[in-house]
Amino acid sequence: MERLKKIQRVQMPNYMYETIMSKIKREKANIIPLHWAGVAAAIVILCISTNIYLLSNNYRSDQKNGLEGLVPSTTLELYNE
Amino acid sequence: MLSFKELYNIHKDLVFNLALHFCQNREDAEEVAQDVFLTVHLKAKNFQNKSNIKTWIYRITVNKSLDFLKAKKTQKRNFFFTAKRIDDDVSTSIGHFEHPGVLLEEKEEIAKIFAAINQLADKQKTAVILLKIEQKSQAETAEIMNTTSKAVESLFQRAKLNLKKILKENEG
Repeated sequence: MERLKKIQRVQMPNYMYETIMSKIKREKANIIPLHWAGVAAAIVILCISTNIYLLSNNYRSDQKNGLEGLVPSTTLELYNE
Repeated sequence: MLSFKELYNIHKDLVFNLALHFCQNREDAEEVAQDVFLTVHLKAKNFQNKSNIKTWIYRITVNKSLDFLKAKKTQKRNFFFTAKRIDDDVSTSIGHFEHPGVLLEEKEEIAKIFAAINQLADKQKTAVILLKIEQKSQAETAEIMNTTSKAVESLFQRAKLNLKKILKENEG
């Protein structure tokens, strides 16, 4: 293992700085600003809440109609023959 | 706090050389170095200065190098869809050893040593590289590895035994 001490230091190539800066710029472009993420989340929550509200309203009104449909009308009128 | 460019200029060779010791070729070391400096750029503002910045950068380089090697191993296994031996990758092959810091006359012998180092567990490998190649003290190595000096000594002793065993097997 003493041979490992003979390994020489190598210099980082000069072009690497530009390569790294390009990579950093690309990464920054991919990062979505936090407030936009918040806006998107708020819109999604709003849509889901609206959907749930509408669905539950429809369900209630369907339930009412269903019950009325089940109960036959109780008039004493006879059919006209 | 230093600017990113200043940090880069001070630590670029340190990062590149450490990545080279793990990857043993320029191309991979350059890729690791890019990831390291990307992380440094993103996290430098949050750096709490718990340890000094050089130690922090060493630690990032070690972690990124190990992650890179793991990903490379997984990629090769998936690509070939064969029951490839897990240790049968390019970096263990002496013929593909391309560390630019190794002199030609030493290449064969050092390639054998690196082929054995590559078969060690990550922590043992890191201990050997930091202690023997980077020539860090036990205390410095312990700080980089976020452990104690005793643990580093224990890791190094186990690594030495394993290396002897592997080198013997490879010769035989």
